[in-house]
Amino acid sequence: MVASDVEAGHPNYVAIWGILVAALIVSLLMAGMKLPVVTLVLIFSVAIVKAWLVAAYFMHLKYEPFFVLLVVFAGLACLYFLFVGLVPDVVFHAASAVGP
Amino acid sequence: MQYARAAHIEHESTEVPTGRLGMWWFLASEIVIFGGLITIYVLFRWRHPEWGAESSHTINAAGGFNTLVLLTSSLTVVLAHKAVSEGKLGEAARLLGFTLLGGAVFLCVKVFEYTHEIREGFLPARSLFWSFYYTMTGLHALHVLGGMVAIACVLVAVRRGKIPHRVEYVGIYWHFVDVVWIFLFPLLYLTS
Amino acid sequence: MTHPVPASHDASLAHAQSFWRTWVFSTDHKTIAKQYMFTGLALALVGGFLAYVIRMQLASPGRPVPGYGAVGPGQYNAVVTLHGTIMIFWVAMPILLAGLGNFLIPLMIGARDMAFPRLNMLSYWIFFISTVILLVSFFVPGGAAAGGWTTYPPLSDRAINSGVDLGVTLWILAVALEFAAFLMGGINFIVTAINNRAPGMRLFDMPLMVWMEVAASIIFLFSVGPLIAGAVLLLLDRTANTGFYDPARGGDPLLFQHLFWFFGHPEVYVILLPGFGAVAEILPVFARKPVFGYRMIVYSTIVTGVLSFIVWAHHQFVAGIDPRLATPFSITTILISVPIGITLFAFIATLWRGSITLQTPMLFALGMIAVFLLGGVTGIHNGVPATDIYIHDTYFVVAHFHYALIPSVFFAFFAAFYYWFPKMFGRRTNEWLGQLHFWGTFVFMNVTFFSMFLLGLMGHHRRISNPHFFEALRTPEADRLQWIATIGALGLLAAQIALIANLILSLTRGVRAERNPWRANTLEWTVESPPPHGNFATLPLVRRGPYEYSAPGRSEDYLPQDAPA
Ligand SMILES: [Cu+2]
Repeated sequence: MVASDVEAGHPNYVAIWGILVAALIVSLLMAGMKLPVVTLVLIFSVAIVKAWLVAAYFMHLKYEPFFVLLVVFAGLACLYFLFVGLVPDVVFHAASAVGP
Repeated sequence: MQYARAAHIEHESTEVPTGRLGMWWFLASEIVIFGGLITIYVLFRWRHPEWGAESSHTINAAGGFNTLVLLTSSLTVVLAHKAVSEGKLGEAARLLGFTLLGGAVFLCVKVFEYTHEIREGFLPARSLFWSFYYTMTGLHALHVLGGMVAIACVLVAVRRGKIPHRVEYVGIYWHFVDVVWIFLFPLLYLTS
Repeated sequence: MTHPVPASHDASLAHAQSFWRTWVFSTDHKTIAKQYMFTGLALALVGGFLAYVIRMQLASPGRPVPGYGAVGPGQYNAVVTLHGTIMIFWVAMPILLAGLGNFLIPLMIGARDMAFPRLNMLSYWIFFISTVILLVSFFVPGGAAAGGWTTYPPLSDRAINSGVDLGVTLWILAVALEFAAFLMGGINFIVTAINNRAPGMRLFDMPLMVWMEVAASIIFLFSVGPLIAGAVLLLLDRTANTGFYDPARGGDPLLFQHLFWFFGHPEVYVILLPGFGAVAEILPVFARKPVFGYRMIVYSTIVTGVLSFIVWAHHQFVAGIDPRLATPFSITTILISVPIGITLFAFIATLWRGSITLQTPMLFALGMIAVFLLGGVTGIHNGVPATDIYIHDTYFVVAHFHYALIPSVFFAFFAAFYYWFPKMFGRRTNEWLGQLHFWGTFVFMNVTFFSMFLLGLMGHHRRISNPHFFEALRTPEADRLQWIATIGALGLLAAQIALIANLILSLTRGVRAERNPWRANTLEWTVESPPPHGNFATLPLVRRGPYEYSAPGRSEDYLPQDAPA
C-alpha cells in the first residue's frame, strides 16, 4: 500500500536508497575526470543532493513543521558567517604573511 | 504509532514529540561542531592547493564502499522506524541489527584504511592534511561508535517491547552520521 | 502520524525518595537549580579571592599578599587566567543560566519539570566534574594555565611556550566538559520552553525571563560548536604533535582567535540576557506597571542574538587580522548597541509614572541598568578601531568589561536572588541586610572600576604583574589610583559578607513566605513556597500575558496569568 505509506510519512525508502547509490557511483566516476573546477562543483553538488535526500526523507525533515527546518538552517547560517569572516585571514592574508 | 509520554509531561505545545525535538536540537549542536571542523578544513584546503597530491593517497574504493555501507545502514534503520509504526517490533529489531552490522563493517574498513596508511608512513603529524584526515575521520568514527551503542540499547529494549518510539530518534541520529560522511568522503578522498 | 496517549501519571511526582535521590542525584529541576547556584557561588568566592590577590599585587608590587604569599610573574599570569575563567564559565553561567533557568523555566511556563530530567541531572554532574578538574589544575606540577582566559596559541599550544604543561591540558578538559554540561542544559531549556508550556500559554505569553534564558541557550548552542572543534585541534597540537596552529607547519594561530571570539562575543549575550530577563521580571512588579514594549523587547533580543554572530573580530583589531575586516566588524559592533539600547529604554520606560517601591530586588535591578549603561557606552570606544588601537589591552578594557559583566552577572543575579528567594526556600530575606549589601556593592564597585578607566588611559597594560616596571606608571597619581582600586575591591568583597549573613539568617530564621509575597502575576507565584516536586497540583490554564499590573477598573493591582477574569 504505497499511497497510504506516503500519507503516513513513509515514502518509498528503497527507491530513495537507489537514487543515493546511483549518485554515489556518479561521484566516484567523476573523480576520474580531468577538469578540476567542473569536477569540484559537480562532486559537491551531488553531495548536497545526497545530504538533502537523506535529511528530507530518511530524517523526515520534509514532514516536520517549519521551525524544525529553521533549527537546521540557523546552524548552517552561523557556519556561513564564520566561513566568510575567516576567508581573508586564513586563506589569503596568512598565506602571504608567513611562508610555508 | 502510539507512544507514552514521560510522567512529568502532560501537555505538548507543538505537534512535534518532545523527544524528537530534543534530538533535533542536539543535532543542531552537532551541526555546528562538525560543520565548524569542516569549515576550518575547507579554508585550509583552499589555502593549500598542494594538498590534492596528498589526498590521492587515500583509498577511494574503501571510502566509496563505506559510503555504500552507511547509506544501506541508514535504509535499514528508517525501515525499522516504519516497522515500528506498523506495530512489527520483531522486524524492527531485526532491521536495527542490520544497521549495527553496517556500523561494524564501516569501522572495520576504517581500521583497515588506517593500518594501510600508517604502514605507508602517512601519520597524523606528517602534514596538516593528514592531521585533518585523522581528526575528521576519527571524530566521525567516534560518532559511529556512539550511534552503535545507542542503537544497541534501543534494540535490546525493543526486543522486550519497550520504548519503540526511540527507534525513530536513534535513526535520526544515525542519518546525521551518514550525512556527515556524505561530505567527508568527497572532501578527503575525491578532491585530488 | 503520531497519536500521543498520555501515560497514566502520578500528578504530584512527590512520592517519598531516598536522601540521595532527593538531594544529590535529584532529577527535580529546582534541586538542580540550587546545586548549580551554590556551586557557582562557591566558585565566586574562589574567583573573588583571586581578584583580591591581583589587586593587592598591583597596589604594592612584590610585597607578599596576606593569605596567599608572594606572587611571581608566572603565578600572576595563572591567577589572572583563572580569575577570568572561573568568573565567566564557573560563576556567571551556572548561576544565571543554569541556576535561574533551571529554577524558573518550568515554573514560569507551567510545566512539572524540564523536558529531560535525567539529562538535566547528568548536566549538573558533568559540570561538577569539570569544576573538580579546574580546581585540581591549581595544584599540578607546573601550575595552572597561565595563557589568559582566551588561551590563545602559541601560549597554549606547546608547553615550551608558556612553561605550563599539564595545567593547560586540564584547563582545556575542564572547559570542554563545562561546555558539554551547558549544551545538555541548553537543549533542555529550549525544548522545554518550545514544547512543554501549560495549556493556553502562547509564545507571547511567556515571561521575558523565559525568552531570555532560551535566547541565551540558543546563542550558546550555535556559537560554541566551532570553538569545540577548535579546542579539539588545540588539544591534538598539544598531545599528538600536529601543527594546526603552528605557522611554520602551514597552520594559523589567528584561526584560534577567530574561533574563540566567534564564541566569545555571543557568550557576552549568553551572560547578559538572563540578567536582563531577571530585571524585566522585577521592574514591573516593583513599579506596579506592565513592562513597556514586551514584544519590542523580544524582537530586539532576537536581533541582538543574530547580530552577536557577526561582531566577533572587534576583539582582534590589533591582532594582525586583515585590515579589510576592521570596517565591517566595527559597523556591526556599533549596530548591535541599537537593539540593546532599545531594551534598556524599554526598561526605563517601564518605570515612568509607576508606583515604585525601592526594596532590595528593585535596588539591584535599577543598579544593574545604571552600571550597565556605563559599561555599554564605553564598549563603543572599543568597537571603533581608531580608539581601540589606543586603548586595546589596557585597563580601560578591563574597566569596560567589568562595568558590563558585574551588573549583568552580580547585580542581576542578586536582584533575582532576593526576588525569588521566598519561592526557592519558603522564607523572606532580611531587608536591612539586603539594602546594606546593595549600597556596599554599588559604591565599591564604582570605586574599583572607575579608577581602572583612568589607569587604562594612562597606559596601564592588562596583563602586567608589576606596573612599576613602566616609566609612565611610576607616578604618584598612578599609585594613588591603584590603591583606590584595591581599597574598592576590598570593600566590594567585604560587602558580600552582608549577603552571606543574610543567606544564613534567612534560611534559619527568616519569616515564612506565603505563595505570592510580591503580588506578582507569573505562574511560579501560584504554587506553594517552596514548590513541591512536580510543581503544580493540576496544570494551570493560562489566560493572559504576564504583565497585567494596575489594570483599570480592578480592585487588585495585579492579575495572575491563570486567574479567571
Ligand atoms: Cu565582543
